[in-house]
Amino acid sequence: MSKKMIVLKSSEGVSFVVEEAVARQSKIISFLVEEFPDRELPLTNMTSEILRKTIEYCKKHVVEDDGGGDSSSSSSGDLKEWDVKFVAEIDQPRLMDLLMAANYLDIPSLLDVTCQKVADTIAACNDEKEIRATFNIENDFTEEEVEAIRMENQYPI
Amino acid sequence: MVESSSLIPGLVDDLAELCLSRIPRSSFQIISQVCWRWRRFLRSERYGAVRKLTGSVEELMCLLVYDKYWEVFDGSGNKLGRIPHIPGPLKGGFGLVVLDGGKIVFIGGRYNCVASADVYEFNPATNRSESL
Repeated sequence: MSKKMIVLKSSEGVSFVVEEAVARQSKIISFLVEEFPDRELPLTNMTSEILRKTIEYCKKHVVEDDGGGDSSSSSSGDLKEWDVKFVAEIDQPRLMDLLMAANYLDIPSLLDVTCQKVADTIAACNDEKEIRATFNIENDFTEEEVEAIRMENQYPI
Repeated sequence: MVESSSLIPGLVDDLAELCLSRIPRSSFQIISQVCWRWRRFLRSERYGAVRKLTGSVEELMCLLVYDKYWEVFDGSGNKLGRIPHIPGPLKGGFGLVVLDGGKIVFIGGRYNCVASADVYEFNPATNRSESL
């Protein structure tokens, strides 16, 4: 018996043929598949690159969910490890896009790992200057404000 | 596109808030010095609410030292700093109540042998005290 396939189309018009079970990890796609069966689903705000990454994540997770079997605890540990590697290999701008995609497609576990990666990256910075540089954030404090904050920070929690 | 005035460039603010809420409290001092937008969010009630929502709430231990100041520790025993001074003269012998939401209420006390009728509530989520 062949598996049911669906077609997802990126913003560049590239079509991706995906097993329905894989794509259904997105709650939005799950809903759309039921509403519009046998239709190509256009994802107009997702680039091919990000869509490919998202599908890679969903594929890995659907396989593990099916094949977990008797060694489910170790396989969930492996999956966590895989997730960490998966987000570690993505550069920052793409991580942001993937996080937005996880939110747009409503894939809670992908949103979880991408948010955590951003949080970990921020927490790993040595000071506020490194955070600004890493995330391209403008320093909008005046000299006086920096001094006031320094005073206040004698009592930080 | 996301505006450059967003909390984290490249993300809509709702999602940036989810990310910022996951950062451990021990980094609070550094992340509140990044920019005004971060600082405002970290000092807002919303920050506490998002942390609660995402299950990122941490337990803190506040220790009253010499009946004068408070040292704050995280769950692993790391010293995070002190609670900012409660406004007004430095008092001793005050009553204390910890409310359900984690707020600490300081009641009365004395300074220079004078009794005080002040009641202040300290909110760790916003790191501020207010008079009740």
